[in-house]
Amino acid sequence: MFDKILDWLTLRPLRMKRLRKRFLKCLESEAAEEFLEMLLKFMSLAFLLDRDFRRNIEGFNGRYLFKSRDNSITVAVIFEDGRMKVHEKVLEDTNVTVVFRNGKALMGYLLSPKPDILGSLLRQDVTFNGNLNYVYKFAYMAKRLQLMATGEV
Amino acid sequence: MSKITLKDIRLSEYTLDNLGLLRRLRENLMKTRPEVCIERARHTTRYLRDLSSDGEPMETRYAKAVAYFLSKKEPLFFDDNLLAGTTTSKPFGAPVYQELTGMTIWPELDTISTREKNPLILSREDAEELNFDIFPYWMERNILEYTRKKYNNPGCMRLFERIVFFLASKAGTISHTVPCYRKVLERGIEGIIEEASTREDEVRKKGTDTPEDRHSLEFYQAVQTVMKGVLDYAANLSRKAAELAERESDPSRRENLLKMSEVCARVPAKPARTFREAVNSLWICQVAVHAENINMAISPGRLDQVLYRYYRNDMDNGMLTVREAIELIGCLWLKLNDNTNLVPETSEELFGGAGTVPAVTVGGVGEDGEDAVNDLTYIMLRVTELLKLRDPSVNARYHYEKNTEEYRDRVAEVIVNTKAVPAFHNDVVDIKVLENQGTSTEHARDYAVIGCVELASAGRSYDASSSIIFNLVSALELAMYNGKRPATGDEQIGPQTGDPAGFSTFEEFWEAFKAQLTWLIGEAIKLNEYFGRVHQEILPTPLLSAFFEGPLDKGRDLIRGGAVYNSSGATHIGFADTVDSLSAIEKAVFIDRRCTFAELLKALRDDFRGHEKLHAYLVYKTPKYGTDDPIAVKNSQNLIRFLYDFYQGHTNYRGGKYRPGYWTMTNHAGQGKLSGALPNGRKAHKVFASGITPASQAAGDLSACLKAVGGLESVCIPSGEALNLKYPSVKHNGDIKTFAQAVESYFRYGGLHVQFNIMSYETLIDAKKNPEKYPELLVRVSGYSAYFKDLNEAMKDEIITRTAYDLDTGRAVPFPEEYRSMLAFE
Amino acid sequence: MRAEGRPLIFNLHHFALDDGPGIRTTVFMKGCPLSCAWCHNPESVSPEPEIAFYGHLCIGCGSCMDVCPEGAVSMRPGRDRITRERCTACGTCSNECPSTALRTVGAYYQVDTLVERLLKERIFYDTSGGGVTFSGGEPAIFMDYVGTVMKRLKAEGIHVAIQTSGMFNLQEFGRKLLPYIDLIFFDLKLIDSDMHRKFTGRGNNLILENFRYLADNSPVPVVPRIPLIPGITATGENLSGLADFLRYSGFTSATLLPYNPGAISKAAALGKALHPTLPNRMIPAGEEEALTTFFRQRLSGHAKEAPLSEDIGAVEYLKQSKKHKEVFSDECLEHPCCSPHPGIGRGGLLIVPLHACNRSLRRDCSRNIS
Repeated sequence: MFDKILDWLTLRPLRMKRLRKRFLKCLESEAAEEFLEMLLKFMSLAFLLDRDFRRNIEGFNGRYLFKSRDNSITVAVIFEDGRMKVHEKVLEDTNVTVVFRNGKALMGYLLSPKPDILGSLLRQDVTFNGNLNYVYKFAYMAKRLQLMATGEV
Repeated sequence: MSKITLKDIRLSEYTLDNLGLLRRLRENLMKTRPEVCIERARHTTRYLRDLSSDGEPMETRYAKAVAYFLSKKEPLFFDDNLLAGTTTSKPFGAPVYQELTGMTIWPELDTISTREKNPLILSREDAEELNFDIFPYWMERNILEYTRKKYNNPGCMRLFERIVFFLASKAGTISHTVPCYRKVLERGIEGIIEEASTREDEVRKKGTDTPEDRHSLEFYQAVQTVMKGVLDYAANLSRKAAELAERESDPSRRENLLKMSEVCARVPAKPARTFREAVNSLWICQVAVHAENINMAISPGRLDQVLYRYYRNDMDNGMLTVREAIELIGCLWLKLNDNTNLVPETSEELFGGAGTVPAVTVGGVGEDGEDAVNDLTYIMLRVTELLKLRDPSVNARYHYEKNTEEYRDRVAEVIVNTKAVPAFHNDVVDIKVLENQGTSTEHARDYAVIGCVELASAGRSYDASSSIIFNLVSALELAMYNGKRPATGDEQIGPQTGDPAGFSTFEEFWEAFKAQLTWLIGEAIKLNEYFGRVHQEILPTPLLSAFFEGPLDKGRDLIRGGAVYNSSGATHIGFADTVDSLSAIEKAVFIDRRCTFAELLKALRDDFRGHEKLHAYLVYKTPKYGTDDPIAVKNSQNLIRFLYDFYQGHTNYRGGKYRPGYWTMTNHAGQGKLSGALPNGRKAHKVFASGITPASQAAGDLSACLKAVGGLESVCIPSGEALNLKYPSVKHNGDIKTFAQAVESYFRYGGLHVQFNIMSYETLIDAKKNPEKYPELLVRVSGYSAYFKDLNEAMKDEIITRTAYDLDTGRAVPFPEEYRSMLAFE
Repeated sequence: MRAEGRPLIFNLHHFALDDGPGIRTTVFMKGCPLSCAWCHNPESVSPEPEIAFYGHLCIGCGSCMDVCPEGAVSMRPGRDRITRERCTACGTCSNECPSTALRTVGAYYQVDTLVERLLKERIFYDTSGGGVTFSGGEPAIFMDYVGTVMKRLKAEGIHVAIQTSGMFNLQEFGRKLLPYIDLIFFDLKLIDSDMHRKFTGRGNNLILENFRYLADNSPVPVVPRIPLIPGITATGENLSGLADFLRYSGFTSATLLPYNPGAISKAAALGKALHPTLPNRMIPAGEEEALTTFFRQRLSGHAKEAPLSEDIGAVEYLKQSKKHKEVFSDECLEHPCCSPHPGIGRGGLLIVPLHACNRSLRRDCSRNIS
C-alpha cells in the first residue's frame, strides 16, 4: 500500500515526465514507428495523473482495435470503468477498427495541425471500420494530450 | 400593364454613401469573425436526453425538442439592423447540428479557433460542453451511426466513406429546399396552428386508426407544438427589444428597438400588414427553419413576388419610400449572412469555402405566364449590386419572350458591376423542364432556385436536391481499370467489366462504362434510400412541413412525402473531363489508332511522363466538349441522356423520382485532386472542370461553347446545371449589350443557367498571391458565391484557369505563359 | 491539297463584333487581287492552301520531318520549319503534328455545308441584329460561290455584309452579289494610284470608280473604311486626299481602322514578311486622336490644310475600346441616324461630322427602324 502511494507520489510523475519527453521526441522523429505505443502509454498515464483529462473517460465505454496494414502491430484499447486498458491482441466486437499504413500516417491523421487529407486519402493512410464517432473522440483525446505535452493547455 | 413605378430602374441615386446604415452594417459584417454557436446543440440535447423518453413518437418528441430550443433561444440584438431575430447566438455564428455531421468537429475542439483555413472561434467552456456533455449523448445516435447500425454497415456506406466515388449528402443535410413563406405572411403562425388543430380534430372524428392516421395525428400535433416554439421566440424578441429600448439613450436606436418590439408582437403570429412586418416575419421564419434544419441552402425563394403586395400597398398608401424599402431589403440581405457552416478542417481542404447558400430568386414570369418583374425586382438587384455579399445567392430569372430587354440588360449590368452576381436563369427552358417532371404549368412558372442552381416549384416541391454528389470520373476509371481505381489501389471495387485492352470498338468501352455507372449510381441511390428512411425514423421535420404546401393537406411530414411534388437530386462531378476522355478514347484508340488502349493506360499510369507526343495529341487533337466537334457533341449528349433515363427509373422513399443535375460546388477541385491522369490529357491530381462547364482552356470559341452547352437536352437536366463563364472585362455600355445578347442566345439554344466571373487571369493570380489585397473579392464557384480568399488552393487554381473569353472577339484569351503549370493538362 | 480553283476559307470567325452590326460570323475567303504590304491577314493573299508553323506550340517531336513526302520539313534552328519551295501544302505534316504547331490554312466548304454551318449561328444573329459578313481576302473574286451562299442566307432572312477591297468587276458584282447584300464595307487605302500600286501591287482606278458608282447607285449602305498604316496610309497627305474624295462623293462618314501589328507574326508563321518599315507596336492614343480629329474636320470641309507632318503615321496608334465610345458619344450621335448601332457595328473608329448624315447611313437607319 505504502509502495503504491510512494509510486504514485514520485515515480509516476517522474515516469510521466520521461514519457512526455519520449512522446515529444517521437512526434518529431522522421519515422514515428513507435507513435502508437508512445501515445497509448502516455495517454494511460495521463488518465491516471490528470483529473481533468480523466473526465474524458468517466462513464465512457469504448473498444478500439488499432492495426497496422502489414499486421505487424495489433493493439486493442478498452475504456471501461473510468480506466484505459491496452492489450496487444485482436479484439472482437469493437466499436471501431482503425487500420493504418504506419506510425507516421496514424500520427498525421490524429495530430497534424493541418492534416494532409488529400495525400492521406490517396495513400490510404488510415481507414476505418465502425463507428466514426469513437474515432473522433479518440482523436480529440490524442490532440488534447499533445497540447498538454507541449504545454499549450 | 407594367408594374414598374420606379423612375430609374437602376436606382442610381441610392449609394452606400447615402445609405449609411447599410454601409455600417456591411463594414461590421466584413470585420466579424465567425464563431461556433452551441446553443441549438445544448437545448435540443437537453430536451431529448433529459426531458423526454425514447418511448415517445419521434414526430412529436422532435417537435418538442425544437420548440424547447426556440423558447430558450436567446433574443439578441447585435447591431442596428432593422430586423429582429438571429440565426445563432453569435453575430456571425456556425451552429452545431450534432445529429448530422456536427460531431466531425470533435477532434478539433481545442484547435478550431486557431486553425489556418477559415478558423471558427470556440470558447473553452463551449468546447468542454460539447466534449463532455453534448457529443457523448450522440455517439450512437447521429445519422451516420444510426444508419450504419440499422443496415449492418452496408457496402454502399463503405463506398461513401472512401469519399472518392460519391458523397451522400443526407448524412449532413437534407435542407436544400424553398419553403413557402407566403403562407405565413398571409395567415400568420396562428393561422397555421389553427389549421393543424382543425385537421387533427377531423382525423380524430374519422375514428379510424390506421398507421397513416396515427402518423397524421402525431404530425398535426407536432406542427402545433413547433409553431408555438416559433411564437415563443418572436415574443421573446419583442419583450427583449422593449427592454433594450427602455435602456437605450440614442433616440434613433431606441426608436428602432421599439419598432422591432412592435413588429414582433404582431408577426409572425398574425398576418403581416406592412412591408416591414412582412420582411421581419419572413426573416423570423427563416431563423426558425434553422432550429430544425441545417443551414445549407434553405432558400427563401422569389422574394420580389412574395413581398410585393406589402410593398405595393405601403407605397400606394404613402407609408413607405423607395429608400426605406432598399434599407429593409439590404437589412435582410445582411441578416442572411449572419451564419456559416461548421466545417472540419479536413473538409475545408477538400471542399472548403462554401457559404450557406440561401438562394433568392427574382424576376421571370408569374403563375399567369406574364412578365412578373416589378419595383422590388429592381430594388433587390440594386441592393445586390451595392452590398456585393456572398449570400444570399441571387438568381435572376429571364424569360426572353415575356421579360423586357431593359430588365435583361439591367441584370447584365449588375453582374458586370459586382463582377459575379446574380446568376442568370432561363425561364423558358426551366419551366419546360419542370413541366416535364410532372409539375403543373402554374406551379412550374412559380419556380425558385434552390441553393446553387436547382429548380423547385417554390414551397410545393421537396427536392432534397443535393442528395447524391456523384463523381463521374470514378465510374470512368472503374471502366478503364476493370473495376479498380488508382485512388483505391488493388482493391476490386466495381464489377469486372473487362480489360479494355481487349475491346475492339468504342461501343464496348461505352457499355463497360455504363455498367460501372449503373452499379455505382445504384449504390449511391441505395445509400440515399437508407438515409432517407432513417431521416423518416429519427429526424422528422414538422416545422419545415408547416411552411410548405401539401403536408397539412396530406397529414404527412415532408420527409414522408407530404409535399405536393417530391424528388431527390443527384449532381455530377467531372462531366466535361469524362466526356472529353470518352471522346479521346474513341478518337485516339478506335478512329485514328494513334495508340492502343494498353498504351493509353500505360501513359495514364505514368502521368504522361515519357509519352509527350501522345499527351500533346490527346490535349490538342481529340474532340473537346464545348466545341462543334460531332464526336464531342455525341458523347456529351449520350451521357446526359443515359444518366437521365437511369435516374428517372428510380423512385425515392417519398415517392418522387431521382433527378440528375450538373453543378459541383467545390467538389470538382477536391475530387480532381484524388484522381489519376485521364485520357483527355488532364494530368493526375489536377482539378476537374466545374459544373457543366467545358474543361478549362479546351473550348476556345465562345459561340461554340454556348451552343454546345445550350444544345444539351435540357429536359434531361431537371436538377439544374452550372455553366461558369469568365470574361476578363466588360468595358463599356456596348459590351453590356453584347454580354446580355450572348446570354440570351445561349438561352435560346436551350441553356438553363449561366453565371460569370468578370475577372482576368492576372487579377485572380494576383489575388491568390496577395490575399490581403483582395479581402472582399467575390467569385462564383459553381452555383454559389464565395470570397476568393476563403477557397482552398485547388479551388483557387480552378477558378484562375477557367477559360476567359474576350467579349470583343468571342475567342479565349491566351493563358499567361509563365503560369501554365497551373493548367490541368500541364 | 491544291485549291484547284476551289474557293477556300481560312477562318470562320463566329461571335465577330467588328464586321457589322450585332453578333456576326465573318467568313474569311482565301485569295486577294491585292497584296498590301501591311496585309492584316497575310494568310488571305494566296488562294492556295498553305502550311503555317507556330513555333511556341511545337514540342519538338520531329514527326513532321518523318512524314513529309517532299522532304520539305527542316528541324534546324533559326530556319522556317517548312522549306516553302518544296512544300505542296499536302497537309500530311499538319495532320500528324500532335500539338497543332503545324496547321493547314485554307479549307474548302461545300455550299450546303457552309450554309448549314452559318445557320447554326442564327440565334446569335437574331438576338443581336447580327448576320454574316464575307471578308478575306477578297470575297468578290469568288462571285459564283459567294453569291450562291449569300443568296441562300438572304432567303433565310439573314443580314449579309461584305468587306471588299473594291477590286472587282462591277457588272458581275451588281448581278451576282449586290442583290443579296445589306451592307458594304469598302476599303479605301491610298488615294494616289502610284502609291497604291507600290504598296498593294495594283493601281486604284478601278477601285475608286467602283466606289463612286456604288456610292451613287447602291441600294444598300456603303461604309468606307480606311486602314491607318503608319508611314503608308496614315499620312496627312493621303488622309486629306481620301477625305476630299469622300466629301466630293457625298460621304460624311467613314471608319478608320487602327493599325494592328499582329499581322507580323501571322506572316512569319507562313514564312512571309510584311513591309520592313511597319512597326511592331500599336499607335499611341494621342496621335490617333489627332488623326481622327483632323480627318473628321477635313471630311466636313473645315480643315483645309493638313496640320500633320508627313511622318505622323510612323507614330503608332493604340486601339482602345474606350476610344470607340468617345467617338460614338460625339454630339452628332444624338441624331438617331448616327447612333453606333444601326448598320455600322463597332469596327474601327466611326467618324460622323455634325448633323450631316450620310444618305447611305440614313437608308440603313430606316432599315433597322422598320
